Amino acid sequence: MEAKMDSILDAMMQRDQVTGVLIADNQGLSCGTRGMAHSQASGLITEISHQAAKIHPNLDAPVVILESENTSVTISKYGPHTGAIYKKKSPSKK
Amino acid sequence: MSDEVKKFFSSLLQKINGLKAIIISDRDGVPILKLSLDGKFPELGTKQQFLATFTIATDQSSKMLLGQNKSIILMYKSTTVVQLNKSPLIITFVGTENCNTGHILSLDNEIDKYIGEYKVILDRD
Repeated sequence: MEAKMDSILDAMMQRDQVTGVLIADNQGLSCGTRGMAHSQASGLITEISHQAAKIHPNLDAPVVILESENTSVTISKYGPHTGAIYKKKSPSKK
Repeated sequence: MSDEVKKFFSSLLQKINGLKAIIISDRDGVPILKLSLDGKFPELGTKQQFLATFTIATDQSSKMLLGQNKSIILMYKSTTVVQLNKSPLIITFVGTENCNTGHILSLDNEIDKYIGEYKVILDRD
């Protein structure tokens, strides 16, 4: 279980522009982190996903993207787990 | 406790998903502040004997050569209890089985800011 989770986290970190990855369980407890993702954020990330799912309770939990100046965080729920991918934003083309 | 502290912990009850009650007590389990979402306190997690067992559990688990114990999470069939060791205070969070435990644990540093002065007073006494 842990080895599989580790391999998923490592594989995600290999992707382009990814600076951090976090996986949390349904109770907001961190299952694993890589890069700039901090395990202390797991509770809030799970909460964001839960709250967003309340907008349309009949549909699956939506993908939430938090954007800041340099980073974007994509939060998505798969079964009992919530994942967050931190990405460095590419400079906008003029 | 000051209004500011009460306000902070009351806001946590609203913010954290599944959280039902917060009890701040001393090492013997004597409550100093009790707050609940609906004015009712769940039987199990709020009894003085239950609160006081945390003192024994945290003291024992601190002997495992892993440093001082910071928190204990108890997961029951329908209740989750998170207890934080803020010696000489114990902060107990009682929630449902789906309570956002990670969110409670991440508030550790924020809680320190509010209860710091009470720790000093109790230590002095």
